[in-house]
Amino acid sequence: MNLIEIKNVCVRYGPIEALCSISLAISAGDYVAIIGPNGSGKTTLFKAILNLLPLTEGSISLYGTDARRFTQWNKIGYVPQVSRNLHKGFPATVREIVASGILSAKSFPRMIFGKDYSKVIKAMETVGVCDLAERLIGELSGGQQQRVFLARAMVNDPDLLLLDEPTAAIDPATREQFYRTLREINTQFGKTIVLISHDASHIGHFAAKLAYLDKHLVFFGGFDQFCISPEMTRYFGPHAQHLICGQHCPMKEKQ
Amino acid sequence: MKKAIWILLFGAGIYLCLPCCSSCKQSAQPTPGKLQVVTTLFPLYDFARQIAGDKAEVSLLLPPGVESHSFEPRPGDIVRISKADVFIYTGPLMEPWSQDILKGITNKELTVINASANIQLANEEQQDHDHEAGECTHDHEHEHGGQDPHIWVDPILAQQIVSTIADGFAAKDPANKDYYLANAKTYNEKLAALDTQIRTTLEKCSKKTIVYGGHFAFGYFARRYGLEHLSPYAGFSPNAEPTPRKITEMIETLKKADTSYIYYEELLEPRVARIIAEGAGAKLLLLHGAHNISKQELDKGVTYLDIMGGNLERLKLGLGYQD
Amino acid sequence: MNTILEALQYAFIQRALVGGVFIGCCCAFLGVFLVLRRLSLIGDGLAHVGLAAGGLGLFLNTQPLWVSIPLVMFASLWILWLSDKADVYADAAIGLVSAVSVAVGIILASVGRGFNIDLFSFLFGSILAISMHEVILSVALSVIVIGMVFLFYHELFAIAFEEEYARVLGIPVEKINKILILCTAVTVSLGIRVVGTMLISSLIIFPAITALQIARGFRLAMLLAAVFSTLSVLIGVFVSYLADLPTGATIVLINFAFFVLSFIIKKMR
Repeated sequence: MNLIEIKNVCVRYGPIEALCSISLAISAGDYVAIIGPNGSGKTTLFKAILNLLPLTEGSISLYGTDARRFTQWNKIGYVPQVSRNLHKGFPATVREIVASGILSAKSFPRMIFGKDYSKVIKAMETVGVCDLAERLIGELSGGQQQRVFLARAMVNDPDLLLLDEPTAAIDPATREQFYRTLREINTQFGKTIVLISHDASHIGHFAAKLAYLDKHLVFFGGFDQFCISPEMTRYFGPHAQHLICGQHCPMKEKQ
Repeated sequence: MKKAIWILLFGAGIYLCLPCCSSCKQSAQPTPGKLQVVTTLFPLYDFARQIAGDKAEVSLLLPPGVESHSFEPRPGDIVRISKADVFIYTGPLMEPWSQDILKGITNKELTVINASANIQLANEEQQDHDHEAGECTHDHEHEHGGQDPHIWVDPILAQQIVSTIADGFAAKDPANKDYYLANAKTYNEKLAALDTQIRTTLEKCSKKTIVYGGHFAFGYFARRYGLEHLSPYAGFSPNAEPTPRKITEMIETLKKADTSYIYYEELLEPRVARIIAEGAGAKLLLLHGAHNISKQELDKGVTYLDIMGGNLERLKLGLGYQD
Repeated sequence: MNTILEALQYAFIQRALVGGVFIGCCCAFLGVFLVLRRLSLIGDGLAHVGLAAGGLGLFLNTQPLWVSIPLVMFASLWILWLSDKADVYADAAIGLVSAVSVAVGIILASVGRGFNIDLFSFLFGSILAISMHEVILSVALSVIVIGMVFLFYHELFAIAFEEEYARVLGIPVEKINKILILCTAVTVSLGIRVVGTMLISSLIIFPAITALQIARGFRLAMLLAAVFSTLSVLIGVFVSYLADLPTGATIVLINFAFFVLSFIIKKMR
């Protein structure tokens, strides 16, 4: 089954077109990275999937249900972009932040009980932030915050994880480690992962599929195909494509 | 440059229109030949209209119900003052805003009457030493700069105010001089009668302390008739907050003094007086300072003499009048 | 100690303590959310609306509180709408709404040309002059507001942390925001009548920012805010009694002292 099915979606902010004629299907077990330059509509696409903004055209369905009528948000874990100063001074502990993820499985009156906290601990263990449980969110580094948000997204054990620029606030060494964690979550726990990155050079090594977005969907397919895709060659020129694909680029081997 | 001219024109237009609109609505068109008199506080308004009779049109600047200490003139009020023939105010202490406005008025014909001109204002400190319960009101500063501007509550000083106003009218309008002075004389006789009445009534009262839950404006009155007063407020500023200690002291004094009445001031909600009354099991009575009157009173056509007469009746209750 | 017992015998001091503590707890709980959402000046802003509404109440010759509560509620929704939908920053939205209200109030007072009682004295209460009726209203209000905060605690927390994420969690963000802002509106309009404007706006801001300095956890922040608020009222009333000072101002300064203290504690850690 396709977890996400995007059909011919257009989003406009007034006269400005953010996205148009996007069609994309993401099936269970996929690990998809959405890449593209700044302003290419990556975040808009996420917001559209999460039903945070109205579609101008087209439709999106989640688990076979139209996103506008979708209610089982506990099946989707969302990791928003981290910006370091946003939560500075916010008095919440990591445990409290992770626990707030549980709310997606609840309806009014939303209460969190003792048994819910075992889920919180499990999610923190999976991501490896147990030792941070009583720290304040504002005291953590970007990489630690990112892990906390990942734990929060996973607390309800969702099938699908959406991550918006997960590595933006992380230094390169931690980034590799973070991608490795994601890879494990994808392979060991069988979660479907969709993430946004503006930095295609690293993600390629970990994601199974790439979607290149520039208001329109330019490319969608496996990493290997990406490197030999004529659309991408047209887009970047062979040299840049070579840089993105790096050592493993089949193109280089051909030369 | 062009823009600046437009802005100037626009500004001038607003400046001319606004006060005009509001002032026209407030007062009827001035009748030609009559003296136009603007007064600030209610007693001055009442005195002036008694003196002026039908020779002048007297108007009150303070809107009814507005507590005089919190009054700020609006542009329309300033225009009313500048268009008037005579402007009467109590003095720079009572109407601190008057000084700036008078400086800015270019009308050379305007006669300004300072009602307290011939009166030596009493220091508040003096008053404090006068009464036993000094602990309730001492060591403070207040907005009137240590001097008490509430001269009109004393019928004797009120007669001086009346004379000052009558002299001002006479100087401004010499043709009707005799008329004004005669009116003033008649009215001063009424004030003298009021004084006698207060004196004889208070002589028959067993108690000499006015327990007051507001800002005590009756300093001159108290001194004139040998009364003492107790108030939880330091000074006259209605913005000041009383301290809990003063309130409890008032409650205790009231309990001991076997007085079952506490007075409150006009126009302000008597929250503090109510609490003291409740704590001591006393009843509330109005002691009207006559700074200004409410809309209801205005509609009823209340006069200064009415207000003081009413005060005297209620003082009889509170001070233990025995016939 | 004896002086404290002596002070406690007076009914007005008892009412000041009870009314002050309950209103203070309401303000503290709401304050934590309002401060985190950059709405901390809403107390001040809505107090101005209360003034205008009170003017209208006197103008219509009704009990000002019954006019001011619905109007302040309306104004609070307007502030929310401006900051959410019209992309006006929250502080600017508060400024706009309070300025309009003051202007309308002044014009009303001017057109009405006079009242039977001075507007300001009617609207702005003093903590020492709380009536029994107002104590009951304050307690009822606190039960409602604190109940609401407990009922929607997790929702309010999620929204305060990150509004967009709260939406993704399926929380009806608009509804919860309205509940928060309406609770604030009722607290402020009742609070200005009971304890006065100065105290209501500082009881919203101070306990919250003091708690935010030192709290390690959100629940703890809420608890500390309520504790600071309660302590400031209790200590403030007694200190003002002992030192013969105006009570409202004393409470504000004690709140400030708490803030300085917690700031120092935070820096020393």
